[in-house]
Amino acid sequence: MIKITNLEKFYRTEEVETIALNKLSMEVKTGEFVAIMGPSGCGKSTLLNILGMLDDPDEGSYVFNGIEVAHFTERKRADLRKHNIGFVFQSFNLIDELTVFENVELPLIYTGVPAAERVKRVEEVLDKMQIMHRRNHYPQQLSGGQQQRVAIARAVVNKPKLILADEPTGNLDSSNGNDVMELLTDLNEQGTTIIMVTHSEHDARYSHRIIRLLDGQTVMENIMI
Amino acid sequence: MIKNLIKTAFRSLLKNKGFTILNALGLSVGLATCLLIIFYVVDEVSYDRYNTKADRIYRVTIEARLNGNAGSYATSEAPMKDALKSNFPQIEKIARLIPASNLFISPQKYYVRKGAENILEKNIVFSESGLFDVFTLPMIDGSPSTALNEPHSAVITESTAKKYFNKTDVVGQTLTLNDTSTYKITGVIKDIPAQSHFNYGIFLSFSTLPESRVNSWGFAGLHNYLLLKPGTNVKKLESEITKIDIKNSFSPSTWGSNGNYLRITLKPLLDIHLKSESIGELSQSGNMQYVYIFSVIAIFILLIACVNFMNLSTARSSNRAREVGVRKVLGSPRKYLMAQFLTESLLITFVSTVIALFLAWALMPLFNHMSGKDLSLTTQSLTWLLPSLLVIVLFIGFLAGAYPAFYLSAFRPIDVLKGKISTGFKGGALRSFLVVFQFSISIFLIIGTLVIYNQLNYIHSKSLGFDRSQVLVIKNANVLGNRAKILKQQLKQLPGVVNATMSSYQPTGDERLKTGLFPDKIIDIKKDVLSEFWSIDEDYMSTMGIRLVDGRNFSKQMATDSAAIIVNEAFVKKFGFKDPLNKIVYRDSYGIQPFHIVGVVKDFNFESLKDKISPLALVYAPDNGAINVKIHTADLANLMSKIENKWKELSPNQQFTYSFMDQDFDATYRAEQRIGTIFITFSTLAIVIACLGLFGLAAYAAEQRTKEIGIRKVLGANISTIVGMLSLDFIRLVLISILIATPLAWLVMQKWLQDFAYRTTIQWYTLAIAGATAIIIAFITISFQSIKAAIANPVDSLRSE
Repeated sequence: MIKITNLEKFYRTEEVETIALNKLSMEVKTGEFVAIMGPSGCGKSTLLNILGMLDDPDEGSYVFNGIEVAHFTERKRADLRKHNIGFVFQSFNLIDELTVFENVELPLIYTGVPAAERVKRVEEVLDKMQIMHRRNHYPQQLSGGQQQRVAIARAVVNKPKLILADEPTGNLDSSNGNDVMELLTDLNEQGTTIIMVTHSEHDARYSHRIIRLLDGQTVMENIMI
Repeated sequence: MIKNLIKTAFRSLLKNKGFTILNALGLSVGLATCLLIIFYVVDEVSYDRYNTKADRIYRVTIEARLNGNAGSYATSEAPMKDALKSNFPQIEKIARLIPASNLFISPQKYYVRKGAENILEKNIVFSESGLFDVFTLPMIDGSPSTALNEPHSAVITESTAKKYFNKTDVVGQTLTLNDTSTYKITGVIKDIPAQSHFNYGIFLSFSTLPESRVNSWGFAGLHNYLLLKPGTNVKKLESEITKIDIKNSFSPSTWGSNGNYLRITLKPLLDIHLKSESIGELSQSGNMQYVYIFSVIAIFILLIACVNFMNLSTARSSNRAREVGVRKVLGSPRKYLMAQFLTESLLITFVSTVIALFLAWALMPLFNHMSGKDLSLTTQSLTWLLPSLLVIVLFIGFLAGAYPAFYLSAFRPIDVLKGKISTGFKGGALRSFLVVFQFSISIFLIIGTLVIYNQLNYIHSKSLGFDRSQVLVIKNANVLGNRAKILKQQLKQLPGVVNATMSSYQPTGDERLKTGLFPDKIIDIKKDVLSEFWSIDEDYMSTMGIRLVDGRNFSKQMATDSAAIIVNEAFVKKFGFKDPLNKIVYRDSYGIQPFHIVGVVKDFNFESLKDKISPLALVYAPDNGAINVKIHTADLANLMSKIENKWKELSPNQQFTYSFMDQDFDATYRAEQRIGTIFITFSTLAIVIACLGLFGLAAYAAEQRTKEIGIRKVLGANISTIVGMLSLDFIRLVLISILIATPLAWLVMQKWLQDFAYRTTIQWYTLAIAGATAIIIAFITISFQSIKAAIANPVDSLRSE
């Protein structure tokens, strides 16, 4: 599904040039659950942003589902993104002005799903995430675990092929964190490819494979059995 | 989709109540002001548009310059009508109006009998039947084509009919004027709209008057209106009429040399109110300049309110950035985000417009009082107002919302989610520019207000050369006939009366007589000195406090004083007399009359201070137009009732009408005073709205820098340092505004002052006061927020990070 080759990304300020990704190559197959680990500043988030088409690489190739996207325009990337990728953030990033239902509904609005169909699909996914009873609440009225469940519901409502999770349990206690990891595992077992950035060895053990980064390069790959 | 947009916008506005209230408040006040000004402007520009043929109606106007005296005259000659009729087929109809003040055989004042009382009626004019063909004055009873044909016919308006007869079906009834002449009512017309350059209640047939038979080119007191056929070449017609006029002038060879000229212009009817300031206009003209100024101010105030919206929206962008980022990550197209922000601004504009409409409606009486207008929100005005309001909502909504929409929707989600936009407040070059823009306008208006105020003050306190305080002017004393003199003598006996004089001519009035005076007995038109020629009595100068600088006052004992004049210094200067006493000047009126100068008075202002003092000759002749009474009393009410009693004894049927000279004087400057009041109000509003924005901006600035403030305080910064730091950013912008606005305002106000022959200068401290005011107001506004931020416990702000 994903094949990146010799990917490079630099950040420049007036005086210093920082290399975030240094000729990084990797591959992720459809249906995989991959964890990316590494110390702060190793380039994990940069990699995730590029994989999520939120950012573009300076050098190298990124083939997504057989399409070279490394030099796509913002608009084309956005289009590809909204149909194929779901995001889960550490800080949930729910919109405060919208209810649980409306938050989850958003991606469907943006992909032009008709209203009746939206209601059906949102209810379906809320039910699956067991937060149906909170559908008319606002994010501030929910616990952290519940908020992250809403965020995951929002990420999967469009039935994306790929879910990118950036430290999904980082703001949660361990019991809520485990719940979230179980959810992601379920999704993966139903066929969704998942790439997750994490600091937690515990969480990483849910994955099939761990890619360890240091200074923008792959230093090790562990296959989990 | 739209429902979703409105819902989201609504919630977002509700969530940020402070922001919403600041914006709605600024916009409503701005829009309300704007609406009032729109009403004012619409009223001004709609003058005479009630005439269905307005675009084809022109007034004959004479432009002339003779011996340095240039003037434009709204009136033209009596034989003009016949000359035009026989020569120009392109003229469809001619209508003439002859106001009573232009009559020279018949009386100039008319009293209409109502029961036992005679009421002075100023809304009287003489005319002919062509009137109803040219102007759209619908007649509800009577025949328009013949109504004014017969002598002693009268056409009156509905409200005049109600005033004198308490009903409107009055055709066939009779009006009695000045106790002596009767007019049969032959028609009743609808009331003339207030937006008309003439607004008479009674139209009398001109053929009644002996003047109608004076078909001399010397009688130039008529307003000639032409209804032209469609497609007429106006320029060509003007030059042809000019030829006729020159041919019939008293001395055709005079024109065209020494800078003298005589030409006819055809003033379009629709230009008369705003773009014509000819001598003898039928009503006080409006001023196109003020229409422009007010429109510009309205737009400025609205812009200031829009700027608030833009600034506050972008200032709180960091609060919105995360939302934008998330939406974009989830696949929101940019146009959707823009639509969302535009919806918010449209919603706020809509709500503000509704509030503004109510505000404008509530403030209308106050505005009317200020502007001297009689505007009202009628169902008829709603028909044009509502569609234009819709346009305004859309326009303002887009104007105010476009920039935030553009700015916020352009965030790159990756930056937002990484927290790069958290410093969203800083780096707002455009925001700084907009604040400078707002404050430049405000400072400009403050300076304008101060200069106008100073000038009005100057006029008020300037020594005019006569004493207008405690002078009672008893008007229309002429109804007493010879008894006016008795009244004057009786009043002089009253305790509390210092002196009294009898004359129509007031330094503060509008009764004037201009006449040509010549240095030689052989009249040479090129040596004509156009002078004011006032009939007064021997008590005039002492009553009015006019100072004699040379010679003597008139005296009853001097038999030859009937041919004597007292002149002012301007007169002496114009004639170039070294030793004016006993010099003789000549007047050409029913033969050559010599006048010898017996005295010279110090120049006094009898015209608006906008004009220089012109030559004046005072002549010793009885004139019972008015009686001026100089009084000195602690019990004014008592004295007034005594004076009125004296009047009633002599003339039981006549109304006692009077005024005080200082009030008359103030009335001369009412237009300027109104402008002053309106200016003050507008600039206050502009500043208030700008400060609302500044208040909001300061709040966001403080919020953005909470962490910085916390760290600084932990490191030992005290409150005043923090307040100073937070205020400085804004004060710097206000300082830039001062630099921009001050020279501009100075230039513009200097130009305004040029209109006055007597004027103050703009002092440096006026400008300094304006600048200081702006800084102080801005500082106070900012202080609320910066002090709040500075005294907050630093631990709170740091812990939350």
